[in-house]
Parts: sequence; C-alpha cells; structure tokens
Amino acid sequence: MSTEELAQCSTDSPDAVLSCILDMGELLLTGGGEVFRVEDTLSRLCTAYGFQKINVFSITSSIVLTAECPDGKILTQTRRIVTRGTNLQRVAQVNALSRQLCVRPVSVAEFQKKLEDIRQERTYSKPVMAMGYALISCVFAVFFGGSWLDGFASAISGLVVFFAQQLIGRLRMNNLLENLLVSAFTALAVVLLVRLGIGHSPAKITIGNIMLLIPGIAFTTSLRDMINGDTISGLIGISEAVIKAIAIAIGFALVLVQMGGAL
Amino acid sequence: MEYVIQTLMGALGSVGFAVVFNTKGKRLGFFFLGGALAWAVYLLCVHNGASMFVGLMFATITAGLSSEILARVIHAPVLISLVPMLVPLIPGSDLYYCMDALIRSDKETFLVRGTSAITAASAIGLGIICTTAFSHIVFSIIRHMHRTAK
Repeated sequence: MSTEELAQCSTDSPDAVLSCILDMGELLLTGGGEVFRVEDTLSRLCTAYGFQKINVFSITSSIVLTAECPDGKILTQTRRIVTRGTNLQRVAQVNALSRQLCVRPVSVAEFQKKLEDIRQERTYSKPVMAMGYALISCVFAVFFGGSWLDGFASAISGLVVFFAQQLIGRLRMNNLLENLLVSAFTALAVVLLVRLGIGHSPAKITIGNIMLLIPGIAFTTSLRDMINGDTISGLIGISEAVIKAIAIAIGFALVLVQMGGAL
Repeated sequence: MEYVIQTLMGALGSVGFAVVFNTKGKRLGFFFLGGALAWAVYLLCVHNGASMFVGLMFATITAGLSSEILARVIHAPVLISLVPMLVPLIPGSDLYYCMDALIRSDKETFLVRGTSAITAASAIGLGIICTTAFSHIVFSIIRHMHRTAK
C-alpha cells in the first residue's frame, strides 16, 4: 500500500485502525508480554499508520492510546484487560505481525483478519498440557531434593492440579477462591498419595506442584518491571502474586489442618 | 552426579513450562540447553564461594545472553526464550517453605524463607535488566558500525 493510500485509510476509518492497533496491545498483554513492549509496539504501529503525537500508556490491566490523525482530529481509545495468562507463541506472533506491518501496512480488513488468525491459533491439546503439568511436577520434586518415587507421586498430583484447574475454571468463580480450591485438592491428593505409600516426603512432592501454582514467574517479572521503571505494573503484579500465594497457602492449610499434621 | 541429575531436571522443567506456555517446535531443544546452562552456572558460582544473590545474577545473565542470541536466530522476542530458561532459578522451594511456615505460624522460618525468596527474585530481576542494557548497547554499536561501513 502506498503512503497516500495509507494516509487515506487512516483518514477514512481512523477509529477502526486505532481499534486494531489496540487489539495488538491486548493480545500482547493477555499473552504475558511486558508493558514496555506493549507501549513500544503500539507507538510504532501508530507511526506506521500515519498518526502523529502518539501517547500510549499501559499497565498490566489497561491500555490508553491517544493519537492525532493526519487530518488533525485527536482520537483516544482505551482497553481494559481482565484476564491474563502466558501464551508465548502469541507474543511471538504479534511481534512478527507488528514488524511486518511497520514495514508494509495493510488495509483495516486485512489487519482484522490477521488479528483473528492469531486469536484462533491453536494451543496444545489438553492431553499434552496435562503431560506438561505432570512433567513439571515430577522434575521439580526431584530438582528440589526429592526421591524418584516422590517425583512419580508429584507427577500424579500434578495431573490432579491440571484437572482441578480445568474443572474449577468452568465454574467461573472468583480467582482467589479458584486458587484456594485447586490447592486444597492438590494437598488432598498429596496426603492421600503419601498415606498409600507412594512417595516419602510430602514437602518435596508438594514443591513440584507448587511450581505450577505459585506465581514465581509473575513475581520475578514484576520485580523486573519495577527495576525497569514500570513501577505501577510491578506493584500490581507483586500484589497479585502475593495474594495468590496466600490463597494457595490457605487452600493447603484447610486440608492439612483437617488431616491433622503438617507437611 | 547429584548435580548432573539436578541440572537435567531443571532443564526438563524449562521445557515443561515452555509447553505449558504454548511455545512450539524445535525451540524446545534450545530451551533445554539454556535452562541447563543457567543452572550449571549457578551451581558453579555457589561452589566457588559466591552468595546465592551473585550466583543467581550470573545465572540470569547467562540465560539472558543466551536468549538475546537465540532471539536473533529464531526471530522471536527475547521474552519467549528467557521465561522458560529462567524457570530453574525461580525460588520455588523458598516460596513453599515460606508458605508452610505461615500455616504452622512459625514466624522465624517465614521471615528467613520470605527474605530468601525476595532476594532471589531481585537477583533475577537485576540480572535481566543488566543483560537488556548490555545487549542494547552492544547491538546499537553493531548497528552503528554497519551504517558507517556502508
């Protein structure tokens, strides 16, 4: 598309273009992209589509984008981000699309189609995900000093974590309660496994599962955000991580106090 | 031998998380190597008398540099490779014992483990920032040299 056509496109439907650009930011944040990446990507895209005086502000839960159209009109759009996960493939794809668009911008319709393609991108199937959970639990139980039997037990309770998350996720309840219930189920599974004689050390088995539940990655990336200067995002991330960790601790406590006996 | 098993397990953990985070294809092999390298560097540092903080920082820098290079090989953002490679360094056991102490209202252990977890996370955070800054400078110089060469 030539520069004239492009300018035409952002004059004809600047709202639609801006909305598509915000979609890119939304995809990045929901896939676990960093805040500075969102701000950088959106400014670049706006420049590529002929907007001027671009102001992007993003935190982990919201994006605000104000830009001046080629005809001098000023537009602002915001986006609220409610749920976030980690989908690194999506971050990579949005990044690739953004590079491509900055070199050669496309029409709004095509832009929307490309965004839809990224949204529709398949994730791993459930059995593969479940195996991933089992693998992570098993290796970290051994990594932190458990025996191979502990690793095996942890793989089984890792599967419990996966299915509990799937099941409880369907109930669409409060996030905190969800984590609490998942960890209660996990603790129950660990206690039962040890009583059945599978695994020696409940602590090591649980650590394998904790790696799946406890927001260690969120905690670490939030600290990085803060050191990097994105203080608000860092604080949001750390608070979320701490609250989640407490919910998990309460979930474990519920079962362990009932079953009488510490881990 | 114990350390070899631990390193292998950590590396497998990197691959496991990469799968859960939906990365695909032959990159998984690189994440295995990166995770193993990061943990090996940590063990090496700690065995030569470095503190946990320094060990984790060097391990993070190793993972960071590997993923900066890998990002340019596979044409994907640094984040994609960095997150899985850092997985073995995450203070999972500290967080667990901290939580466990909270349940048993053992304030002393809670504080010790909690501080340790925060120290570890800060070391990793600082390591990431150092690598990003360093690679930014290096790649700017390279780009500049390319431009002046032309």
